[in-house]
Amino acid sequence: MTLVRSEIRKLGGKWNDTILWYAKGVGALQKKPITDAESWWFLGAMHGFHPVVWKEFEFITDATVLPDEVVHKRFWDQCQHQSWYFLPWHRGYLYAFEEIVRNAVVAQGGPADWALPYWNYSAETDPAARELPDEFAEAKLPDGSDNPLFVTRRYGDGNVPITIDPRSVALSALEGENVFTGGDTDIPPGFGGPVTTFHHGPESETTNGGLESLPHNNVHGAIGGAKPGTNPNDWWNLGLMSMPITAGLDPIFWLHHANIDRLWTIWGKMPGRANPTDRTKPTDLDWLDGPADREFVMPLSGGREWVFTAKDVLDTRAQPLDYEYDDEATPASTSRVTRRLASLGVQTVSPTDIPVKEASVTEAGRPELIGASDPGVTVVGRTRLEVKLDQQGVEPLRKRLSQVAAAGGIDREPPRVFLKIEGVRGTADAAVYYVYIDLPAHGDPKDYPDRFAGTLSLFGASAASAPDGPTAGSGVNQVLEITGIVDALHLSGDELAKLDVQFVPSNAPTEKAEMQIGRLSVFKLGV
Amino acid sequence: MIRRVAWQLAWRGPGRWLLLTSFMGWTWLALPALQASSAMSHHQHYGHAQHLGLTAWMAMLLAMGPLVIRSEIAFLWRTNLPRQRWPAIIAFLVSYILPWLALGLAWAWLLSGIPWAGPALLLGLLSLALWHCSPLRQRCLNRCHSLPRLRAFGRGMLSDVARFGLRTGALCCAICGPGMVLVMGLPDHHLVAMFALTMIATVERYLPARRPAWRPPSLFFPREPHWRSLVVPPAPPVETA
Repeated sequence: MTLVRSEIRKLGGKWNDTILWYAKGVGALQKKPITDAESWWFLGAMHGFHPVVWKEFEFITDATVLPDEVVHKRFWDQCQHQSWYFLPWHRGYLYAFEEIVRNAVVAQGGPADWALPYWNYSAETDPAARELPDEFAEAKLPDGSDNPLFVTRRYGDGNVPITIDPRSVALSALEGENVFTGGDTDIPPGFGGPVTTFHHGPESETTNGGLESLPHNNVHGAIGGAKPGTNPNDWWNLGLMSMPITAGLDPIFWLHHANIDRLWTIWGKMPGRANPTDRTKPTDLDWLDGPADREFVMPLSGGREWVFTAKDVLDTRAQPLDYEYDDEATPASTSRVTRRLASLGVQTVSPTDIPVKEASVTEAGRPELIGASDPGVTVVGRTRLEVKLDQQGVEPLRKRLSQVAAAGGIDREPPRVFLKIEGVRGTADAAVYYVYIDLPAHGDPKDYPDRFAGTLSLFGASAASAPDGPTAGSGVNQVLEITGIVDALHLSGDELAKLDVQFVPSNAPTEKAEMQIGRLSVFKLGV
Repeated sequence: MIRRVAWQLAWRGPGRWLLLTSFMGWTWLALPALQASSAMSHHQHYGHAQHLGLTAWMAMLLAMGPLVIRSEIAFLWRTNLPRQRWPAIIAFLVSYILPWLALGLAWAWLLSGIPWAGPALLLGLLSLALWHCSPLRQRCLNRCHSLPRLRAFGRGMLSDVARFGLRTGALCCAICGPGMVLVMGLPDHHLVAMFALTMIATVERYLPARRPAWRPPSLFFPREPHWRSLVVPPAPPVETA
C-alpha cells in the first residue's frame, strides 16, 4: 500500500482527520520518556541536542535520565547539514518519524494509512500558502484539550499569523541548479550540497546546498524567529525552529521537511537533473554508500533499528519507504542556459543545433577568483559592502559576453559568476538577509527584483562559530549565483570594476542581529 | 577515523603533489649519511654533526610536513587570484619554514648532544605524553582548523599570507616539535619512529577540532558528543515580580 503525503490545505479543511491524528500522535510521543527511542524527545535530539538549552527551554531537568553515551553517540546529533547527505538523511529521518507516529495513531484507533502531511509554502496560486497553518497556532484542540502542535517558542517576525516573505520560499534552486553535487570550492553549491564526510553541521567549513539554502534555512528562521523586543543574538530568545539543536521539537518541522523532501522528488523528475547514482564514479559511490565514518541509523516502532545509506532512499515508492506525494508536478521552465542566452539577446542557440555547452565544473574546469572584499567585516542591520573586481579576471568575461551578443550562435555558454559569502559567524540563528547587488543606497529592495541575488540565513551559524567547535569557529559559507545580474550590468554598460553588495534584513528581529563575514569573494566558472 | 583522514588526503587536488614531495623527503632521509647524523653519533665531530643534523632536520620537515599542510595549500590556491596563487604559496612556505628553522637550529646547537637513552629517554617520553594530553596542545590543533580571511589584492595579500605561514609554522612546531626533537635523537629505529610520528600527526591534523581539556589525544577518542564543544553562555535568571 503506497502511502500518500498530502498538502495540509488540501486535506479537507481545518482540523481534518489527518492533522487531528497527527496532533494525537505527537501527543502520544510527547508522553514517552527521553530514553525511549520512540519518544518525541529522543527523535528531536537526533536532529540536535544541548543540555543547557534543553533545560532552559524546560524540555529536561537536572533529574531527567538521559540515554547513555553509547546510545547518544549512535543516534543523537545525526542531522546532516551543509552536506550532500542533507537530503537523503532527512528523507530517512522523516520516514522513521512518520512510521513511529503512524504506529501511535493506529494504537489510538486511527487509520493504518495515515501519512505525514506537508506544507507547500511556495504555492504561488494560494495567497494564504505562506501563512502558518491555523492548526499550529491554536493552543487548544477542537475538544478543548491542549494542542500538542502549538508551541509558545514560535515567534516568526512577531506578527500574527506568522507569514513568510515570498523571497524566502522562492524555488530558484529547482530551476537554477541542475547538478546535485557541489562543485570545486562549492561553486556551484549544487542542488543537494557539497561533498563531505558525515556532517552534522560544523565538522568542516562548507557551504549550504541550493535547496538547503532556499527555502529550507529561510523557513527555519522565518518560523522560529526571535522573541519580539529581545536581543536576537542571545539563544534564549530564539524560537525552536531557529536552531538545529531544538528545531526537531517544533511539530511544524516535520511538515516543513516533508515539503523539502517533495521538492527533491520533483527536482529528480525535471529534465537534465539526476542524483549522483553512477556507480562507476568514485564520488558517486561515496554518496550512495556513505558516509564512511559514521552510519545513518534510525529507530523504528517496536524497538527496531534501520541503518541506511543514500542508495536506500532514492525512490520513495520503493520499499521500505513506499510513499508518494499528492503533487509531484514539475514546474514548467526552460533550461537555465536557454533563459540566460535569451536575456543576452542570443536568438539562435547554436548554428549546428548542437546544445550549447554549459559552464559547469566538468566542462569548464575549476572556478577562478575574480574579485574580493576586504576581509573581516561586521554586518548589523542594512549593510553595504564593496567587492573589488580584478580587471585581468573580468576582461575575458566581458569579451565573451560581448561576443555572445554579437554572434549569430555560440557553442559554449559564457562564464557564470558566483558570489561566495565566506566565514559567516554569529549567534543570531534566526536571522535571514536578502542579498542585493548594486542596489541604490536608499532604494526599496522590492523595487529592484532584478538585483536580488539570493538569501542568507544564519540557521546553524552559532554552532559553526563556536571557538571550540569542530571547525574552531570558521563559520559557514553561502554561495549565490549572480550570473544574471552581472550579465545585465554588462549590457547596461557597467565597467564591472566593482560590485556593491547589500545585506537587507528580512524582518525586525534580523535588524538587530549581528554577524561577521570573513570575506566576500566573486568567482568565475567557465571560459 | 582513518577513513575520514584518508578521504581528506585523497589523491586529488594538491594531495598528489604533496604526497610526492613527502616521498622525496623520505627518500632523502633514508640516505645513510643523514641517518648516521640523526642517530646522535657522539663520535663525530660536533660541528659536522650539527651541520648534518640541521640537514636531517630539514629533510624530516620535507618528509613529514606536506601532508599536514594540504588544507592550507588548497585554501591558498582557491582563494587567490590565478596570477597570485604561486606567489601566495611560495610566500606561505617560506614563512612556514622559518619557525621550523629556528627550532631546528635550537635542536642542532643545543639538544643534539643529549643522549636520548635510559632515564633521559623515559623522561622525554613522559613529557611528550603529558604534552599530547594537554589542553594547550589541543588549542593549537584547533587553531589549525581556523582558516584566515586574506586580502586578495596588492601587498596586503602577501603580508596576510606571510602572517598565515608564520602562524601555521609556529602552531606546527608547538604541536609536533617536541615529538620530532625526541625522535631525531633516538639512537635506533628513529626512521621508524619518525614515520609513526608522521602518521599520528597527519591523522590528528584532520580530525575535527574539539574542546580543550586534559585527556588522551583525539587520536584515541576522536568523537565526543557534539554538544560538549558547543559552549553556550547560561541564560540570565528570569525576573519575577
